[in-house]
Parts: sequence; C-alpha cells; structure tokens
Amino acid sequence: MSVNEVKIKPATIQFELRGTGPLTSRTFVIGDEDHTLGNALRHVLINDARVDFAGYCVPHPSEPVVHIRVQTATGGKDTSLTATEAVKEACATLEKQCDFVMEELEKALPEVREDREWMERLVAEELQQAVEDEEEE
Amino acid sequence: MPPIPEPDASATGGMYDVKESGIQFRHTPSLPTPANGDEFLKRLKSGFQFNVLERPSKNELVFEIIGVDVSFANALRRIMIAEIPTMALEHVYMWNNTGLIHDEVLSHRLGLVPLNVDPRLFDEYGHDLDENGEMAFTDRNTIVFRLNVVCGKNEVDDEKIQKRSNAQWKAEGLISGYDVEVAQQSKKEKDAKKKVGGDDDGEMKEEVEEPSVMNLSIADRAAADAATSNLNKSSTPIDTPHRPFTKHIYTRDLLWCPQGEQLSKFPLHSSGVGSGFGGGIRPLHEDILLAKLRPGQVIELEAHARKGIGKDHAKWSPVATASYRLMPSIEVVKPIYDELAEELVNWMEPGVFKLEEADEAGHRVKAVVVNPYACTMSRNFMRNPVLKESIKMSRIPNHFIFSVESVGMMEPAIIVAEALKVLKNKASNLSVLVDEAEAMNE
Repeated sequence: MSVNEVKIKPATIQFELRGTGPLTSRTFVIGDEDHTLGNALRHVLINDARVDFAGYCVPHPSEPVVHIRVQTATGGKDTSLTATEAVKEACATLEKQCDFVMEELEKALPEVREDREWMERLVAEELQQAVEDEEEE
Repeated sequence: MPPIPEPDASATGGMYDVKESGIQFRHTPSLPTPANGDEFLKRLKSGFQFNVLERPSKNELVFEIIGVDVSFANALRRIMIAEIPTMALEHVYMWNNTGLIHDEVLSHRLGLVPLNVDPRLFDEYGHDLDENGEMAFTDRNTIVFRLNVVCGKNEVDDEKIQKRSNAQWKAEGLISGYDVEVAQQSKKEKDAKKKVGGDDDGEMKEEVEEPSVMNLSIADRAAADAATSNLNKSSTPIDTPHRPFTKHIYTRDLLWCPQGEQLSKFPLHSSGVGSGFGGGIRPLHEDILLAKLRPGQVIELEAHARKGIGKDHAKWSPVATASYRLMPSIEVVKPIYDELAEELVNWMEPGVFKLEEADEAGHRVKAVVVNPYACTMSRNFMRNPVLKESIKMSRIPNHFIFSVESVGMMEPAIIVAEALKVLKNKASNLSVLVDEAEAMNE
C-alpha cells in the first residue's frame, strides 16, 4: 500500500493451552483479548460450584494477551470436570446470558427487533442474489 | 418515573457503603455458589430487569440493567467504546495541497469526520483478495470521497469558481450530499420564520411534566438545543477591512464518488440513516470545519473509508461515550424533620428528597426519598453532623444505569444490541479455539 502504512498485526499467540499434569488444571492463553472477555468469563467460571479456582490476568498492558487459570481439582468422581470442559461450559453460559439480555433489550425497545429483522432480510436477499448470479453463470 | 427497584441483598452479596472518605464493601449473606451454568442462568433470569429510563434525544439512551455482574456490564461498556465496527476515512491520497494545513493534519481531521452510513452494510477488509492474493478494495468495503477546492481571489471570483466546479463534478458523477444552494435556501426560510414568530414566544419552552430521571435541568436542555442548532452558524468570514478573502472548507465540500453498486444501494433521494437534505453517503454533519484557504490555494485529495474498530483508532468508535454508574441507595436511618429536612433538600441534588407532611406529632414536614436516580453521591449532607448520622448512602452492586450517546451513524439501542452480539461472538470463538486445541493435543 503505502510506505507508512501501519498494519494491524494479530497477537503472536492466538490461543495456547498451558499446563501439564492432571486435566483438571489448565491455563488458557488467549491472544487479542483483554479484560472484556477475561473478567466476564472469570465471573461465569467462579459461579460454578464444580470449579475450585478461576482467575484471570493481563500479564502486560502493552500486549493484547489474557491468561485464564482454571482448576477443578477436588470433587467426587461423579462431578469431576476437566478444565477445558469448564471453560467450554462457561463460554456457552456467557453466550446464553448474552442471548437473554438481547431478548430483554428487544422487549424493552421494539426498534431493535425491527432492525434485526431488517438486517436478516437484507442478508437473505443478498444470499438469494448470489445464488441467482451463480446459476446464471 | 419507573418504580424504584428494591435491592436483592442475597443476590448482590453485599452493598457498597459510601463513607466520608471512600467506599466500603459490606458483605451480606449470599446464596451458595450455583451448581452449574444452568443454575447460574436461572438465578440471573429471576432477578433480571432491563428498563429504558430516558431518551433525551435521538442519539442518547439512558437505561438500567439489574441483576448482572459488574464484569458483564463493564464488558458491554468496553465493547461499545472499542469493538463495534464503524466506517471512517482511512487512506487519503493527497494530489495537491497548497493550503496552510499540513497534509497529515488535514488527513487526521478527515479521519475524524463521522460518516452517515450504517457500517453493517459494508464488509471488512481482507476478505476479498485480488489476483495477487492481496487485499482488494471493492465497492463492498470502501467508500471513496474527493475534496477538490480552490480559493478564488475574492468572494465574487470564488462563487464563480464554485459554480463552475459544481457543474464539473456533477458531470463526472461525484455527488455532494449537501446541495449548498438548497441548504442556504432553507436556512433563509428558517431565519425569516424566526423573525416573524420571534415576538410571540417570550418564554423558553419549559414544559417539564415529569422531572427527568437523570435530572437534566432546564439549563442543560437549553445548552443541548443550542449545540445542535445550526441557525446561528454562518459561513462568512470575519469582516475586517483589507482582510484577504478566506475560504472555509467544510465537510459539505466532501464529494462522494459512488463506486460500482453503491449508487443503487445508497440511492440519492432516500433519507437513509439520520436524514439530511441530500442522500447517498455523506458525513453526518455538514458544517465541520476542515481547513481554511487563502486566494490561489488548492486542495485536491481522494479519501477512502474503510471499516475499523475503536481499539485501532478512536475515529472508529460509534459512541461519543458509553458509561455506566451504580445505582445509589439512600436510606433514612433516623427520620429528618423541619429545618433539618429543608436543609437536606437544599444540600442534596435537586429531586432526590421531597418534603412531605409529617405524620408524627410535633413536626411539620419530613424528608422522604423520592428519586434516588438523580443522586450523584456528593456527600454534601455530611457537612452537618446530625444529617451525617441520619442518612446512609450506598451503592447497589448489581444495578447499573447506562448512558450511551451515539455519534449518529447507528442508534444507541442498536449499538447496545451490536455489543451483545460481539460479546457472544467472542465467547463462541473461544469455545472453538479450545476445541481445536484439545483435538490437537490428543
């Protein structure tokens, strides 16, 4: 492009799973993320009785990396949970929380629902257009 | 006025007590940790509330969320400020700039100009690749603007040049979203109307039926009206003798160069988002001063707009600002009567307390909490030692009053919806990454 162009580079590590030993303790190193996801996910993880330890940190503010540490060491054989399963469940719970808040938002502000339907219609029209163009070719 | 919700002590886990210096967290017995994600969601849904408190203007939204944790509210706020994509001018190709404003300064100013286009209708860079495998600039991800201005020797000469160039640009297909003649015409009409009706309205419009929740006083509203009205702004330079003619370059001089299918997607005669006089794609405000030129100086440039997020550069932030505060809770521990009550009503922010007739014998009036939303935690009442003991002020940790002010390209409600979508995408992307990492390790 131009000599002076500043290209946005993604973080060096996109994702890394750190930790040897039992599957119940792991550190998740996530690139291009910060307190936005880290704190929200940590809060969901903490509010799970099967998780013993959940914490997050941003090792250096200049680098867009967040570490999330999850330990589910104790617990009976029936309720055992590996660290990765705990994180996946927490992600799912966070998604459901977002969905729920979105529903409430649409209830309180109907224009949001109209806007969403308008967007969906646009996308559907474009898909149809693309399909028709391909058929023509 | 929405009914003041009562804080659910077991759900919050405590209250933030506001002391004379600082805030102290006071734990209250809370429910045991939820067994799994489903129970967490169930608890969330039972105590959840979403209420719109106020919409002071088209671009501002004040709403409250009750029942979520501060991490979620903060995540929403951070995403609204920094991670919702918007369109803004990024690449500026400077062909001729003999004005006083440096190239980079002018490009910086151009980048900060907000564009009146819904960013969700455009793609991000990097998805379309051309033959060499490099990013392609297509009509689906770039908006092209041109700025071609010459300053004439004096006003008359300048108008002639303006007319000639307008005709030339129209012939080339460039579009100015704001027809300057039309704008000046309607401005004259508005001025004429104002002069006629000026004698009739003596008083400012102050019909305040309900005290606003955020307690925007009359002065605030008047300031907001004055800021948005363009009637007092004139584009004529200061009239001092022997001052050479100065041409002011405003955003209305930016010409949109429709590419490919853009003209059919953004037709000229629709009002689009935030309607103005013209149509198509144009800057949100027509009167942002970009540069000043003296006779003979020229600016010719082409600017490309692309999608970006606020994290990259603040010009891509869709909100003027998005913030939240925790709901204050004011408890009258010892009843306050008579002179003390009147003093309290004066010292607290207006609207929080109200004087009511006292039921108890021997007292005239007592102070009653009416609108805690208006309280801004000023601690003013602590100057009086008696009042200091009789009032307990605290913050409810799971009740957030959000205030979102949009720049204008998207409505604030839409911005909140987009923020929720972005947060959901982050969580789902992480889930996918964890799955992939697990599969790799096995």
